[in-house]
Amino acid sequence: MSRLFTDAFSAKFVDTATSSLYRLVVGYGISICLALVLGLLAAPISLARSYLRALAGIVQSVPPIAWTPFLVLILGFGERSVLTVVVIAGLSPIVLSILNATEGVSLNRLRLAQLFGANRLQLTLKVYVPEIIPDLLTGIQIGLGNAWRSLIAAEMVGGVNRGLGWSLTFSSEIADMAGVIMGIVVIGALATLIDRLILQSLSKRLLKWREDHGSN
Amino acid sequence: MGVIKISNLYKKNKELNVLENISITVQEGEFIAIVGPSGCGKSTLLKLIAGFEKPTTGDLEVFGHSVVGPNKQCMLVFQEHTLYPWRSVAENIALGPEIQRWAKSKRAKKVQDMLVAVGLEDFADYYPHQISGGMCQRASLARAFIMEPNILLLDEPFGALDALTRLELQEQLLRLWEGTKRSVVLITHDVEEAVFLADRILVMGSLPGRVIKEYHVDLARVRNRSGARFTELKEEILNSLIG
Ligand SMILES: Nc1ncnc2c1ncn2[C@@H]1O[C@H](COP(=O)(O)OP(=O)(O)OP(=O)(O)O)[C@@H](O)[C@H]1O
Ligand SMILES: [Mg+2]
Repeated sequence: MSRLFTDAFSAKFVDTATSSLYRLVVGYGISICLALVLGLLAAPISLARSYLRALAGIVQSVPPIAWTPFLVLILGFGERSVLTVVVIAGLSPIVLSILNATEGVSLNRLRLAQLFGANRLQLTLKVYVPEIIPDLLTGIQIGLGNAWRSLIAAEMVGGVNRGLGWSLTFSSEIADMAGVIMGIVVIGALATLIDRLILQSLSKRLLKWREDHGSN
Repeated sequence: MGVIKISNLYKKNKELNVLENISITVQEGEFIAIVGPSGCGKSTLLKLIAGFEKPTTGDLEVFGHSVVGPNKQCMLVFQEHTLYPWRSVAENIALGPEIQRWAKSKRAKKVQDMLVAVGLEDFADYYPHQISGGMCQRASLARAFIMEPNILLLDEPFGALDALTRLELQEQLLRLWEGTKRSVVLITHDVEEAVFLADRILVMGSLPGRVIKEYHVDLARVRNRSGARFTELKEEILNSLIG
């Protein structure tokens, strides 16, 4: 047991965890940006929305890790394939949350902005974006879980030689039970921490207007 | 010359005749009230004037131009609550000026003036869910008035309010309107409210929605609600609604 703790803070293990986190930040960062661009471009046009929805549905029904053989063939083993898996894994929940939220936008609130003479950009920034933020945050939370799980899996099979997934496979191969358990614990703990520390405080700030008066 | 000119307008919703042969002319500075049973097409009529829906047949002109879409001259205050929940009261009132890109200083000053005019200066930073229904309706009025539109379309702006707040808001509306050259079309279920506020009252019948009667209110403002002519007119209109 004590080995778990000494190992957890060893330079080597910190390096393992940081390289996974780094991949998550880069890969999932790209997911978020891409999903926002796609979602917001499609949002005002109903035909574009239904195409994007179909596409996201298809992407979502394939386990992200199943892309690895294909990606390895075109991108080769290593970093780029793993990152692409993360991007794909994170994309669909965010895109779908934007689409669902867009369809739930209040028609009268939209009309009101049109009455004031809002152009398309103003409609997007002043109505669509605030309307979708609550659902978007949920989508980002779900996407994060997807991205993180797929990242670990991809690290196990994608031919990288750092990261938590890789370390898990490696520990197993040398029959290091403590290493395997520690890997699993850290994977779970890190994802929870990110959700708590970053996403939940972000939604608290962005959804300030929802808080009940006098609740704090 | 009317600012709003509706002639022989018909509106169908699928097979349903929502509005039939409507002809109304609203003069500059005129205050019109429309009363009628629920579902007779009052809201539909306002949405047509505001340019959110198209007539099935007939002509609809605002300032001599055929209505093709929403128009800044014509501000509609919706029957349903349409404040933006993510904006404070002051930010809601500032929505139009923001979209129209008024200078920051002018915007701040006008918003402050409007807050005072509708008695919400102490609630500027509250969100809509933190204020009462009546305050929300005042904020909605302020949000429309700040644009100084030539035509105000008000869809039951004082519905669901207690009697006292209602009277207060009616007088507030009168103050905001008087001395301007704005035309107002007000929809209401409250006949007394119509007689208190309007120059002319149109009574609508339902299925299909049409104008069945028209009254001119020839009383000087501010009107005495218990005056003989006032109550007589009120009775008459109520009877035409029932009959
Ligand atoms: N979006 C819509 N789609 C189909 N029918 C509609 C729609 N909106 C209204 N209608 C129909 O048009 C008719 C008139 O509706 P409208 O909302 O204009 O009535 P109203 O006079 O404003 O009623 P209320 O006093 O209850 O507000 C109703 O019979 C309603 O069923
Ligand atoms: Mg209505």
